[in-house]
Amino acid sequence: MKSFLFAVAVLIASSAQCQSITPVIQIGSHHKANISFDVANNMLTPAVLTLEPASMTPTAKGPTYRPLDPDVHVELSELSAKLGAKQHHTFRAKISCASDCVVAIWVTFMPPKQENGAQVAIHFPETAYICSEIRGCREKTLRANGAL
Amino acid sequence: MNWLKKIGRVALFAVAFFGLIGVANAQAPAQANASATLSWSNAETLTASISTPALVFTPVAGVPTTSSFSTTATWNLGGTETKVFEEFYLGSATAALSSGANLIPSSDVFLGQGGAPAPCTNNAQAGGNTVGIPAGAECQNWLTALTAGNKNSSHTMSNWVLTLQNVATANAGTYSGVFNYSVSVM
Repeated sequence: MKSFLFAVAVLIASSAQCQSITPVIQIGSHHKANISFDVANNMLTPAVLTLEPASMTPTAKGPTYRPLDPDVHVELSELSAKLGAKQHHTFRAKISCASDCVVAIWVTFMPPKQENGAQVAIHFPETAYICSEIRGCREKTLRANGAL
Repeated sequence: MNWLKKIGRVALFAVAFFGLIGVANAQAPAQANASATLSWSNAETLTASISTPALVFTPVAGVPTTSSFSTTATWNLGGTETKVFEEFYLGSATAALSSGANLIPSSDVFLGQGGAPAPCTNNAQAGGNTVGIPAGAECQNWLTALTAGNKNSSHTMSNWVLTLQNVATANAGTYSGVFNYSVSVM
């Protein structure tokens, strides 16, 4: 009975998707930031992930995303990775912008293509608030956009 | 005899003096206040999980229907974050599912949770990937306001089902697409 329950648990765990990111928000000063963040594949099966940077504006309704603004430069250590079961990986990014900016690096986990039906993709962002100085950067940005 | 008494007093004094020093030294380690700083950096974490990697439609009373699925967003946030956003959306409004040139729009894809299902035709309020959630392809969105009491918490939603409506006239073929679950923090 125990082995049966274990097999069922493994089956459920391997058929689900579960991924994590840490930290979630980072702050940069002097209009630049060198950040690193860790992405974990909590599943019992491998997972492929892609990274895509975007400019973000916080609003009262929530964050809105768009392609990177022209004056924002993001250099990622990798654009994609394959994580084995229960593996994690640290990504690095160099971000610079001409003025205060918010950059979200979207992490997308996409399972293998589904022939009949819909693949289920998971997305979450690593967000960097970048200002001239760290102190009060995020709060200032949120207030300026009516999000706080 | 006086010199003997003097020697005796000096010896007695010396014994007492050095004895006290010895006692003091012996007790010194027990009285010292040694301390070590305790430090633990518990980083902020955001986790998203969904109970299935794929949603396959099979007929239920003639309606293509997926098996039920659930999602959980888990967060541990120690900073000044104020909101957690979750969104379900399809890859495209005009081609939510496709089979070659045959397309099923998002208006034919319905999401339900026990009650009346609704088509995935909303415009995004938040979240989404780089180019944003395709207009008219969002199914649902949720906002969890963060307070001191739920900075380390989770949000689980169960019994979701996707159905395809109005596809009786769809051309034969194997249709595929992408269903997206995004979790973001602000």
